Amino acid sequence: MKKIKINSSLCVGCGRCEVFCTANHSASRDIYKAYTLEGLRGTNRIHLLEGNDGYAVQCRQCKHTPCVFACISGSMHVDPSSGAVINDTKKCVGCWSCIAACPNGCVFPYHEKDGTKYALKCDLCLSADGEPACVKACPNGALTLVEV
Amino acid sequence: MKVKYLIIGSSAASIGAINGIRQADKSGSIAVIGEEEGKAYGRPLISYYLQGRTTKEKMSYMDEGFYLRNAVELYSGVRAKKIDVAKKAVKTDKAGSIGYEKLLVATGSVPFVPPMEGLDGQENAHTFMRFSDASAIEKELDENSRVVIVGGGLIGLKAAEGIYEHTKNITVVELAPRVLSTVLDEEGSEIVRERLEKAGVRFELGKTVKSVVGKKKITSVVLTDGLELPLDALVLAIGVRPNTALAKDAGIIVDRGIKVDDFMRTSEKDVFAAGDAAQGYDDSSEQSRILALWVNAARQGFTAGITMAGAQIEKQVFLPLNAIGLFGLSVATAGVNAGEKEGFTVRTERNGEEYRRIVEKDGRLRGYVLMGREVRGAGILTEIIYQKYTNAELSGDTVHSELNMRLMPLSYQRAALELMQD
Ligand SMILES: Cc1cc2nc3c(=O)[nH]c(=O)nc-3n(C[C@H](O)[C@H](O)[C@H](O)COP(=O)(O)OP(=O)(O)OC[C@H]3O[C@@H](n4cnc5c(N)ncnc54)[C@H](O)[C@@H]3O)c2cc1C
Repeated sequence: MKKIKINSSLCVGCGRCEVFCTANHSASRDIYKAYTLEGLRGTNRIHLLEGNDGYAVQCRQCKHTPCVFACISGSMHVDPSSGAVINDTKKCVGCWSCIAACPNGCVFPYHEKDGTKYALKCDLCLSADGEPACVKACPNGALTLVEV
Repeated sequence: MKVKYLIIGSSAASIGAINGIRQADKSGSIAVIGEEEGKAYGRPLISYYLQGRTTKEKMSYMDEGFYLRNAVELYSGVRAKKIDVAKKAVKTDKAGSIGYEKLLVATGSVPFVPPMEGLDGQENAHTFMRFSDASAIEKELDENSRVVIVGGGLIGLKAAEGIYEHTKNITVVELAPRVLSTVLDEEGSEIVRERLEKAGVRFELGKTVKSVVGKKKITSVVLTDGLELPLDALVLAIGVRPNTALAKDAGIIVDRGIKVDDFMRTSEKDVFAAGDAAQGYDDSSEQSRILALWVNAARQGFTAGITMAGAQIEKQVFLPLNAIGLFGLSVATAGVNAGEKEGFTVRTERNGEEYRRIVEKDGRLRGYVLMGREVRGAGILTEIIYQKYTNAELSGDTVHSELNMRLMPLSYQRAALELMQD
């Protein structure tokens, strides 16, 4: 399957990956609309970790899927066709068991304005059927999509 | 009728086992016997159902095509009555006798109800374990209902959260002096109790129900200190017991739960057990014990499935791990829940309802409590326990650092980033 490899020494900490991640998971797929009209700030599934040698990181797609085993609703699942671990946010109840299980701190809590809660994680942009937006947006080649 | 793999029980451990078997054996026949109607569902979701945060359809644990795709014969609404280990067959109430090559006993938990004077045959007394319990409770409640919940543990408080959506008139009676005492320390318990009290839930701690009053329908309960609480519905959520009767009758060794080794094998050849019914090893307390939590049931089931199919899996590490939301407050706990008295070092940090409690021994993390901030990054702490990292190996401090990958040893970070994990 495909996974995203990170070369942390190439990360310049610009945060473009976070912005393009948010936009690519919005209804409009447009930065202005996603942030300003859809109010999706904070829905990025890749996060820049601060520090001089900081880097951006998203779900590592681990083979032993601790988040899937921990899921009490069945929303966190291995997609049978791609092999990627994906969260079905419509089914998710926001209990955060996956957050307590993720060994890399790469599943994030989210509240919609009406209080609906669910966990957000990288889906390799499968929901937007394309190359992961973060990989495309990275100006310095820190993120690459590789077949493993 | 005979199958290669037979599973009794249709919940977390059962699903895990099906996935494990199919990873190693694509075609061997699988049958599941499940007493509850329908497909496996997220049992912990029954409180979310009461709350209106999920629906019966969404609670179905696996996707629509799961049973077909994996060629699983599901006997739902069928009860296994007897395991005959000599004949390698299981007798059922409605589906005759089913032979097996490998058997998994995944019969889970049953609610524990202590003797209470006058409880027998009461219509408005409920346990809180199954979907059918939640739907029965739902039908009984209106906004004026007075509800008494016996048990201030995980199940009792989740029941309170679900019921709160229907009526605010809730009293929780708990024998221990505090709530969630098995997973939280005193300070943590207090934070949770205060949050619920602010919402209007009342607590009677250090007491339990001595007797119930009323014929066919309970009208009140009398507590051990003589206090009488009038009620319209009683929820019994004192605790759970491993459901071991079938295994015991078949001569399989049962301690508190069905005894299993690291690969979920019981004392009987070709018979495995997993989940709440099984007593495996808790690597954090270094004791053989029941870990009655979803993630363990699922992973034990998976381990059993792989082993039943004759494939190898490395020894898995199991420990208590749980995340729970209560009235908007998020709590995550893992590993040992102990303190100085038991020989551990404890370090805490607190800011209002944000709370981090770190339990250490010999300079490494053994357990934690994390509250608030939606338990962001909690899994980092869980992984530190799994990896047995000493504090000296970490790149930060488990009490004060942000919980993200930067807290891990540099070698761990590199392996994770460069996809050299697993
Ligand atoms: C209200 C509630 C909230 C919970 N919340 C959480 C949570 O937030 N996090 C967490 O980790 N855990 C939680 N749990 C615990 C979790 O649900 C269990 O650990 C998990 O369901 C155990 O799975 P299991 O497969 O071992 O068995 P179970 O889920 O107990 O299922 C066993 C099944 O076997 C069937 N069965 C038993 N005997 C027979 C027989 N003779 N023939 C046929 N079928 C039989 C039963 O009908 C049942 O359907 C909660 C539990 C409850 C009740």
